[in-house]
Amino acid sequence: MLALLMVLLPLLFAAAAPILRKRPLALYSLLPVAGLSLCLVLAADLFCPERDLFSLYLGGTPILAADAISRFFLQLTAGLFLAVSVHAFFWLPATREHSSHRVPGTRTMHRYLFVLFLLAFVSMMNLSILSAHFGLLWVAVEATTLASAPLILYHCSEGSLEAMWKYLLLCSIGIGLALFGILLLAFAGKISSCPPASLGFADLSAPGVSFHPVWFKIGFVFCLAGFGTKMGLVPFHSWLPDAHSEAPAPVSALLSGALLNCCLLAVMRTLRLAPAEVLPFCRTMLTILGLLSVLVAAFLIIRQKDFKRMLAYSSIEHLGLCALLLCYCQTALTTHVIAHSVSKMMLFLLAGNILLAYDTRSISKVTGMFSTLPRTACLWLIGLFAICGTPPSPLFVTEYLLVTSLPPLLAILLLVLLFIVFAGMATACLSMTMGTPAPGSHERQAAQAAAEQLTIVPGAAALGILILGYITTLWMKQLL
Amino acid sequence: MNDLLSLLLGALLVLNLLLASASRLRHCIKLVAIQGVLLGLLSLACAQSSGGHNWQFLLVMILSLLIKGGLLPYLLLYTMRRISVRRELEPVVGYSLSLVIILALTGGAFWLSSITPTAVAHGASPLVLPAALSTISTGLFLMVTRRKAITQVIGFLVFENGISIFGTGMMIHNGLLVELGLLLDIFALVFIMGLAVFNINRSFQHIDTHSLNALGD
Amino acid sequence: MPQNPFFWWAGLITALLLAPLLPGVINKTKACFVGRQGPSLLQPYYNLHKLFRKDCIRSSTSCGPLAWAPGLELSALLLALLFLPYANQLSPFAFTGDAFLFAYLLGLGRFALVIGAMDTGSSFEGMGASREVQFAALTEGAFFAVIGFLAFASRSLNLSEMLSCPLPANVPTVIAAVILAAGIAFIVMLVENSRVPFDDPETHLELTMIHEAMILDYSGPDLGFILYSAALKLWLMTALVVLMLLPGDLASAPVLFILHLLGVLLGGIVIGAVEAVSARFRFLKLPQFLLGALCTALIALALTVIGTGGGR
Repeated sequence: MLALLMVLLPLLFAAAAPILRKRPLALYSLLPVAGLSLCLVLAADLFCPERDLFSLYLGGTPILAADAISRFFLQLTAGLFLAVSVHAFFWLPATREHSSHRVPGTRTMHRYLFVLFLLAFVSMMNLSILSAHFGLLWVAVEATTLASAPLILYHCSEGSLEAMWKYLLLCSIGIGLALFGILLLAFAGKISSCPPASLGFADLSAPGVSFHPVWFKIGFVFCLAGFGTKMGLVPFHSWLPDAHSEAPAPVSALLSGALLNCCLLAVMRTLRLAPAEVLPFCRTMLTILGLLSVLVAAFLIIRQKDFKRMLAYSSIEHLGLCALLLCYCQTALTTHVIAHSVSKMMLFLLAGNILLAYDTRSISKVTGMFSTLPRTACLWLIGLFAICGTPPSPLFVTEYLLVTSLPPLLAILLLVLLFIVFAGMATACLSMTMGTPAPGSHERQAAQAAAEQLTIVPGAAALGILILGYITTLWMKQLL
Repeated sequence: MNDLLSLLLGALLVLNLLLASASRLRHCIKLVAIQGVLLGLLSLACAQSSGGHNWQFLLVMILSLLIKGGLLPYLLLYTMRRISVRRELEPVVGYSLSLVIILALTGGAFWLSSITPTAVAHGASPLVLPAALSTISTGLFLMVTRRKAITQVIGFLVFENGISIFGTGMMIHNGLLVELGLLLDIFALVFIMGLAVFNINRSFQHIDTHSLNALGD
Repeated sequence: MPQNPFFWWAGLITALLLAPLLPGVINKTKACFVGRQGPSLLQPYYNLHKLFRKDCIRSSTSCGPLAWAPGLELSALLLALLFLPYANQLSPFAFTGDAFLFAYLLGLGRFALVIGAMDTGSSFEGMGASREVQFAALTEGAFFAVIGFLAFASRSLNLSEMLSCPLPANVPTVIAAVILAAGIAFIVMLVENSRVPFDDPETHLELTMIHEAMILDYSGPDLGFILYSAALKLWLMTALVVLMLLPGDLASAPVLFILHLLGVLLGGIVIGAVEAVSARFRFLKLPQFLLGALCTALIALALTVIGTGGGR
């Protein structure tokens, strides 16, 4: 029943959003939903971990269920959602106040619509994490696209329109391919010697169930291409930098921190079904896509001129790393996911602040953040070091574990690529924080002051990363 | 019933050729509506030949017939009228060449299904896989080679229909909830895409997607 | 199926006698559609009778083909008529591969017309000839695809067997393919006989004519020959479509004979209906349309190949 609540609670508040449109209350409904969801998932784990609170049956087959990994993803999503909604609560009025820089004629989305789509988006992410049926998983992942696409259009500019169109079209095609893949997998099961009873994950992975290997391979390739598109794996990534850079900061943070994880989970679920004889094939495919993602992202990061796009490519890189972790070192996967999500969320929120203060996304036009935005600059650098995996960061541990478990040639290649990423991001971030501020930046003092006020949530996230880093270091000591 | 099944699949194959050569948007939308209706009939024919159908199945079939054959084409027509775009001028690939390419893709689909013989052995019509693959590739082809945003939406619908041909033809049952979710998703997608087309038309004064290339590396 | 040569000969003679009736049926149907009374069904016979009583005037610039082209066309078509299985009785002249001879006899007839038209030296007729050849080149692909389909479905290269063989009952895809192929054959028939969506037989504007532009210079018995061969060709192609749709094992020979005759006349009514409700296509649109017909015919072929197990 709890699972149904996790899906329906945000959905109900989303439906209520139009009622609150006349009052400034619309934004307030984000906080109770986010807080309540987080409390619920945490309470479920803390107080009754042995009871199965998440299962929902319809006609004898499970519709929603949660295993350990989906509980983890659920908690992560709820946490991110709470952080993002607290930030958005202060960020939205601030941007509206200081939005004189917007091109005249472009409009901003009504606040209640923003709340509506954001809540629907979160609800669908929860559904995709909790769904116990392959078809339902597909429906939920497609619905996340539909709910998040209008959010990109918050500032209705030409760029955001283009980003939204690409996002809608490419992700829908990708998800369509995934649907084809799911049907192929179902067919592979149907014609095998021991067909599964339904497309539920429990039935699919029941002992004795087999798949026709050739059809499973074809189906897996389609599923990987489909969910890989939404995960942003190269070569299906072209929508991701556009969407993540054009979306408003809280939405970018959720897209990057939470949505990509849901698709990673979908890939994981598909990989788990693979029979032993096709598992090497599936892992090879995933490794190729993962390495390609890191490769392309690394080379696009060093020549990047736009800091939000740089963060988006860093997401591609990390999802590539996740794909590699999935193949070679599953123990470190959850740590990597949580560390990446939290630090990427923090970086995207900070990027929103910088955009607010400097009114530009160009790296070269932002200088001297230490003198204009000291707190933001400090957190920005912490975020940079965290996301690049420098030692106190938990990502250092997971990347270390990954490199040691890879074959030597791949390990060397990966190290070189990680170094390129670090060099590219460090150059950009340092040039943004150091130096003297550009001459015109004094005119935006009010906006800069407002941006400095918005560092509570990123600061808390930074603290969280440091604590997590400490824990993972202890964990690594145990491992070694 | 097998005759009906193969007639429907043959008609779907020919529909792809017609779609490739249709230049008027209204004509294209009508063809997609016909495709939706054929798809509904296909699921009926499949259920008839397998003998398993109940009220859930009928409900899904009627809903899909109404949505894919009626509501979505109506939405597209409405969008088309509102932004007053009638034809797809200057496609990237000309109509005659499109025909040849679609024919080649159909041939490829037949070849692919001839090298995977297990499909025939399990009671499904031998035409399902070629028809599905060729419809999927026609949809993708339309999305790649047409410039107007609205034609890309049409291409997406064709693509989606191709996937459904595979699902219904191979008799893969998802259950009521998932089928309804699928329909709802597709409906919402076309709805949101229609809104996006409105917005693009208002911001750019046209819906030529080739000018949507300001972003990117 | 018991063979009865009597019905085949009866079919041939009916074709020769009743061919001019078919344009009459078409014109009557068109007239009915627009609410007129229209010319009598027998009007084509009156026209022929009138033409054969007249004298022949030939252009002075001609160097010969103008004189022998009508005869050549008529004889090519008469020969082609010998290979059809009327009432689904095998033709006594049939041999393996006669389908190709059939196609090339039709081609020879067209060649005669075209060379005659070029011989007059008139620009209109040259233009008509050029268009005729252009569209014929595009149509022939579809026609051969249909023949290929028939050959595959019946496992024979003998036109009589192709058209009169019973449908393979255990191959469901063939039904779809037969309907597709018959549709394409109908389109081929419309193009070959210069009917409305492709050419307007009643136009008075030389610039838009195809077939009519080629025969502007003929008169008297020559024109009579040409009109009679056009009627024969119309009968021939309509009969082809009807035979494709009539399975050979449907009924006994006399019934089939009647069905065949009724089918051809019904074909005339359908052509008339199509002409009444549609307008002529733009010339630029025609190649695309014919290409589409070819592609569809190839799909019909693919359906048969799949259905019959790909010749393995």
